[in-house]
Amino acid sequence: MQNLIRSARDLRVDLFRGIALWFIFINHVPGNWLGHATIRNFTMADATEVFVFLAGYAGGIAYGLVMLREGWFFAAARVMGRVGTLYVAHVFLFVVFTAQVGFSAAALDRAAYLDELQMDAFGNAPYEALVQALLLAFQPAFLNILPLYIVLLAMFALAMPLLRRPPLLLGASVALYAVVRGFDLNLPSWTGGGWFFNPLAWQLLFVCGVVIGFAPPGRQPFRLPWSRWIMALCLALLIPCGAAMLLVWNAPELLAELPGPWTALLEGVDKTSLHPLRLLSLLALTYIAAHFVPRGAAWPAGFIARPFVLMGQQGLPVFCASIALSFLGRVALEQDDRAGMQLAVNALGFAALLAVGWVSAWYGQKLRATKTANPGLPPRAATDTA
Amino acid sequence: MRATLLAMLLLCASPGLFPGSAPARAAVCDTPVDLLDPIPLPRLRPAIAAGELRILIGGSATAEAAGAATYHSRLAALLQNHFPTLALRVEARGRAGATAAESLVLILREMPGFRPHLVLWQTGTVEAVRSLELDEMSDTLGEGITRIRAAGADVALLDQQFSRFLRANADIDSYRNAMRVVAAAEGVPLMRRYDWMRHWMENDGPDMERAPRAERAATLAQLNDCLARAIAAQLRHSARR
Repeated sequence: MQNLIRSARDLRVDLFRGIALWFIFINHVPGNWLGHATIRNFTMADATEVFVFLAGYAGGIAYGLVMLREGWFFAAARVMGRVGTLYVAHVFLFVVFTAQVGFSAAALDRAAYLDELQMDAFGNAPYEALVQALLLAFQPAFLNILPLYIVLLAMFALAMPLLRRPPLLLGASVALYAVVRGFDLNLPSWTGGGWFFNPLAWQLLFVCGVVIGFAPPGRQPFRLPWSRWIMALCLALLIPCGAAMLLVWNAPELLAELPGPWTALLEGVDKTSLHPLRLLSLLALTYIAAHFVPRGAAWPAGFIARPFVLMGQQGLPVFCASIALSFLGRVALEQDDRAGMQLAVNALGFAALLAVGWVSAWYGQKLRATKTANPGLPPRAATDTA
Repeated sequence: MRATLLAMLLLCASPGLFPGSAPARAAVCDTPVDLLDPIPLPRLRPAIAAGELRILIGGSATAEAAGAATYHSRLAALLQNHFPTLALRVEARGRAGATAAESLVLILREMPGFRPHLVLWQTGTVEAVRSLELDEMSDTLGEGITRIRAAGADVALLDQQFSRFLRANADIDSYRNAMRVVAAAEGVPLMRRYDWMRHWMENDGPDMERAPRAERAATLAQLNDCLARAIAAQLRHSARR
């Protein structure tokens, strides 16, 4: 496995990305016991935030350099190629989901029960549902991260030239975020309301990743210096938020007695438009992680971290696989959710994610080797990771 | 006189305040105390002491159902049995497919005429099934709780049903979490129907999804009975001092 890991990169990013992808698989299988151990239980940010942030980070590195070397249009075309791949993957997963709902309904013979389960937005109006799904306006449960990612990348393709002026890019992004939150704007959803993850707000997190990741040759990437005060600020944010998250499920009566605006604040922390507390929580976690796992630290290259680093380096295929595998996981737990099945779902799920990462890395390496041996072969975007 | 006697009785015998764990049923649908919400319902005790209790249940399909086997009729029967002299009324208003906002309209419409002491707001399933916006649900719940309280009633939320089908096909956890947060932040008890039902299923209690077709009606009746007992247990828990 080690020889498939590209070690010239910042392995910390790959490591955390790999872990986030694993968490996404776990959190997409409700009833999975491991769900109680993922970071959404004790921080405001969950695996989705980590994934989007690190996607921006990887995108900033990969496409930023391409743009500087080959120009905006070339780089944007490459990003749009990714968008196309993701779109096809999303449509595929939509078909899988629809089939899963049909299978579950038949398998459990749920007639005369749960009649409010009008899962059948699809069954009621299949043609319209198809059109809306293709327009990304119909997003069944669990199929909301890919549409977010698709729109984020498309926006990135347009905004790329601003990469040359990171403060301007960040400023525009913050302004959009503020307007969107202030006026409550969102992309429309067919089933009512807006998107589950509002890309117009979430773009800020992606851009933060891009700006932190992008390093033009000869210049240092953006870095916050280490300071005890910043660290204290981070903890002053994370600890009360974490405590509140734990209280919500374990001692709600204490929460109700907290003085001041705490509880009202907590109630207003939305996921749809990335509440500032979620954004700040993720940035604080990043700051702390970046300090305690310094660049070049030994353990991200170590034995335990290796599978996650490998998965993190093959972000796109592993991400799609984790969504697709979560379908199987949910169907399996629907049949039986006791210890044996829990173990099987998690062991097989992890092994399958790892296998996808392994094959993808192996293929990418072979392809690069062939290319070096036969320079006449057409170039290919095998090194893209965003 | 009767009211004073009742009040004294309440003070002395707190555990007996509400039914909910009759030994005959305990094996089938016992509700462990850690699945009950410790947040109090302050209007309950004075209402019972005064000899009058009105409970309004508002929600979607399960609140719409009628007949002796529904959980609200079972709840009324249980409470009346326990407090024979109490002037008790339990009313349910629901419509299949109603969102939180729609069931809130049903509830608020009944408030002035019925003047409930307690509103039991059953919701969250339709939102999860239709992948509706989470924050909109949270906002509606928060606003609704404030308005119901302003109209003079305690509120408790009743969360989603547990079903393997629902869990596999809807992002149920996100919506349960959102309801949990609102309930905790507003200081109203959350009746954890989802956790209760899962607990019963895991302990050989009623399991609609595994019941043979011929036993469905009986299983549903048993489930509703369990649910009524659990609600009563929650009421007792929230009325204790």
